[in-house]
Amino acid sequence: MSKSFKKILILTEVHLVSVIILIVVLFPVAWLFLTAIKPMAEVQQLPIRWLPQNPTFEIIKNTWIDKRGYTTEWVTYFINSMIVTGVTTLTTICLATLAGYGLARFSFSGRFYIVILILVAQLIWGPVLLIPVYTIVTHLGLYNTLLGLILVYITFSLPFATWLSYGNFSNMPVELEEAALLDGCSQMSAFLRITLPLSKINVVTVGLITFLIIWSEYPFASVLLESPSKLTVSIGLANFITAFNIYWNEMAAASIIVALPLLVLLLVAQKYFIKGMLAGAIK
Amino acid sequence: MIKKYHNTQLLPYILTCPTLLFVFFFILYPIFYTFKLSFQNVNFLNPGVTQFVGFDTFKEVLFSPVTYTVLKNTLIWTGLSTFLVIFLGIAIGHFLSQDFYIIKIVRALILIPWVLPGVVIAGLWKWMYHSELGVINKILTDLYILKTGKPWLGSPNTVLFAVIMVIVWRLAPLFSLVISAAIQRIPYSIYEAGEIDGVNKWQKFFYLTLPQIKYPIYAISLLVMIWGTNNLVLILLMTGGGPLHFSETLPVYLYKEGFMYYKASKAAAIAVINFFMLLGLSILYIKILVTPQKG
Amino acid sequence: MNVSYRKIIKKSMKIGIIILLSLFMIEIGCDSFAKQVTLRVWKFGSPSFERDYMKSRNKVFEERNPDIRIEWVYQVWGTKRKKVLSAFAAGNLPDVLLIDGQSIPEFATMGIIIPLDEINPELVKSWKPRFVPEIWNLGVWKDKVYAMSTYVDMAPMMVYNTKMFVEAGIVDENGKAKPPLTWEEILRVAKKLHSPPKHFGVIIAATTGTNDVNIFEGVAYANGGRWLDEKEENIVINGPGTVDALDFWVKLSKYAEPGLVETNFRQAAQLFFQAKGSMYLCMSWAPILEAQFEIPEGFEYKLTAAPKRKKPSGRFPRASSIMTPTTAFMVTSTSKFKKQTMKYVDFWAQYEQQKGWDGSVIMGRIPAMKVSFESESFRRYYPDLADLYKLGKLFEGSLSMPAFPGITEAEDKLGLAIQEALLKIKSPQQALDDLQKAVQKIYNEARKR
Repeated sequence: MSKSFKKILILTEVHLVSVIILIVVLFPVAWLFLTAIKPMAEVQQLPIRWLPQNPTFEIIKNTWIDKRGYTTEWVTYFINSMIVTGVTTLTTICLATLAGYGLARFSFSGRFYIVILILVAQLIWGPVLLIPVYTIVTHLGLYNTLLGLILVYITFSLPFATWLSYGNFSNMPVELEEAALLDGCSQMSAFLRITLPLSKINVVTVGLITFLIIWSEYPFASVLLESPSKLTVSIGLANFITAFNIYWNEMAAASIIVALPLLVLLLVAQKYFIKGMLAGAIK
Repeated sequence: MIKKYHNTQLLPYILTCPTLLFVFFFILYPIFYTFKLSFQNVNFLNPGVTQFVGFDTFKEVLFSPVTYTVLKNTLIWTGLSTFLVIFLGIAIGHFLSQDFYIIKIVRALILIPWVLPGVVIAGLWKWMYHSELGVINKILTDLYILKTGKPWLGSPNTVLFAVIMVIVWRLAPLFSLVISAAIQRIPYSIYEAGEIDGVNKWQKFFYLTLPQIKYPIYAISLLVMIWGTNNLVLILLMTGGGPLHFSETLPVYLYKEGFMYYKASKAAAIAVINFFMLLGLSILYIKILVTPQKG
Repeated sequence: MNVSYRKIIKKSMKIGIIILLSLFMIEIGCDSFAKQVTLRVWKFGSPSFERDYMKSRNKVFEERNPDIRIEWVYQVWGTKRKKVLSAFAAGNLPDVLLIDGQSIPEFATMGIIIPLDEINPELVKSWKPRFVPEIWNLGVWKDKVYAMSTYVDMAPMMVYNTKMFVEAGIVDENGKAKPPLTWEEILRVAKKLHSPPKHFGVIIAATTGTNDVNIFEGVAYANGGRWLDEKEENIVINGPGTVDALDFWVKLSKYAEPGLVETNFRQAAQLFFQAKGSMYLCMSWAPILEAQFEIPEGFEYKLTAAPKRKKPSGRFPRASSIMTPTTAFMVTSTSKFKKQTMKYVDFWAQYEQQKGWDGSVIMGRIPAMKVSFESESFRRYYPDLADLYKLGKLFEGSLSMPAFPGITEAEDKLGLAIQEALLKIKSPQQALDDLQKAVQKIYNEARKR
């Protein structure tokens, strides 16, 4: 077999497999978009058609502004999600960076146990904690408040964020800080002026991953929030999915709204995502 | 203004304090509280009733046939999804570790399933699995694989596997990326010896590549198992545990007992079981992480 | 210098506090003169046009009673019990509940609602003669009037696609579609008209939702099955009446849509109204659902009573139908404005408000007031029912839908038992035997509260 022929064969094989992978991975998402622009009659008609005959963006628009021209509750949901996710992300970045620095730079008694604790905490959180957290939040009088949810979310994103920061600072050479210390800076100011600016990538990664996880979260939000004015975007969508009658195109339109911020972030900041995930899986 | 710290020894404690406080209040204390609850008979409808009943609640859980269905489902769900994610992750990861332009594009797009919120994925797949209007049935009937559409999420035989497919769809791409990154890290020197001996493609993979990525694979397996054991959104919204508990896993069982039937203590007892499962997996995972990797 | 400043500050603070306190007292005083009372009303379920009708009448009430404001909150039907119970536990129930009559024994036993005739006995007495007695009694429990009804839903009913029947030759002497009247007939007709995937013989809703369970209960009660025995002590759901009904249900499911355990009553209606099934066993609200779907051209259907077994096999008398008011007005025990709530309920106990349900505004509900049945609109929209009413036969043999403390959990478990039988995990007898044991426990406990 000639070399160039072999080359073409390999190229074809690679392209074929790539396309198959892309189809499997992206087809559902494409189907979601297609459903969101179909009028209800087409969604329900049989046999099912791939492409809409009368595509309409009305449905997506109607998620925000209903037929009478009033804004729907989705605007509230979106704002709530933004507030909750934003505050959580910012707070987590601050606290996790500080804690990660503290763990990486200083050796103090209990350090090892704290690191292990953080690791375990990151893995334990989930539905297991639903009941007690619900009870504790209610006792604190924070049931059905965004603040209550924010506090819980901060707790859940801190371990992984701290772990990422810890890894980041561990790998950072101490020399620059030591030089600053020799010049008469205090520890904290060395941190703020030298170490932190060098950790921009880490900060962005922590922020992105936190945003991703918190924006999508459902179980705790559904348990800790109740009144329509406090709900988040994931609860709103879940209500669509578990309704008696599911209006699939409306659900698809709402799904796109919920997913869009994350897809945009993915587009813009891909490598940060990958870096974050890798750090979690391999040291 | 630069503050002077009198005792540098305090600084690390101050830095880690807020984080630790959060972890204590909302993770550690709740765990202790769950254990306490599981030994009581609390019901959300009768606030104020907190009698100590010893192992009664646990007995109620362990004697209920639903619990065993749920445990069985959880094991199948966790085991099968992990196996499939690893298998596909390795296969696709190996493919993605090659250097072609189109593969770069695939690597960029392949994260999308993981980035989508769980709620969106649950709704999307519930729609695709629909027995009348679902696109999966359409494809299968158009290709003459099936005569009429099957109710994938409504039939006891298929529901658990249908749901497993969803989590595999979500996680396999992500881990294939991790694997491909790990494979790309393997120094060429490993392969050199093999080239000299004249190994073929498969031998190269099994005897050279695979051992090098052993640790990432272990780490990922445990991570997937932990995520699987913890996953609530997908099953809760797609099937609600149904039909008849056939797709119910521990977290879903926990959620329903606690927030639909208001049996706080029973849910706490289930949480205890779930907790021990998670603890075991977490300890294994940490052991893997702190093991030094071989050159 | 400083000392005198401090004195001035202290003095002004004292004056400030006195002013604030007196303003506060005046506020409280004004409240007790009932300047404006807000009644919180929770409406459960109903399609939006029905709720819009009620909201428009609410506006009239507010105009006539400027000192009362109605805060109307819509709650989904699916989680109604959860909503009420968690509000009760948290201490923030509304003033008025518009919910189903089946909940009355449960809510009354738990102390969530109070009898209307204990708040204002004369007013309630004045309402009674306006209502059809069988419907009035649905709001009565243990001889106390807990609810005022607006309409009832009846089970079991059936809608059938007349075009499909005619095309398949299932007609009477006049060439009109002939609906099956007995279990044997419907099994035959369903088999004949069952041609998947184009359309199914029959559409059955079999989730664990209360509506789906109510439909089955209607079939069971028509066959002489019951939840409770005559003394209301024992659960007898595993008697032959119900067992045979469940067995019939399983047989019928052979000709139903495959995903029936995930099809709820609304989705089932959708399938029927899109000509995907020739018959749909439902309740009297089927016409309401029609308005919500886009019906294909030339679609024709009729609503009739569901087929019954030739002779009931259960030991209780045949119930021609079971019914419950799904928008029944109840007053909560925690309401602070009981006088005003009675005014509001009284407003709704007038024909002026209830006449929308005679078919003129809303189709698919069976009105509660006698006057509605005799009206022009009712005769126009439901001629068969108007005739039956005139003959006194419309409510003959009608019973209340099952209502006892613990009913919600019981019906949820019945839904699961039905699924167990449909999915062939247990035989009907076995599923109902297990159900009987579980519900007996629930019933005994619920009664104690």
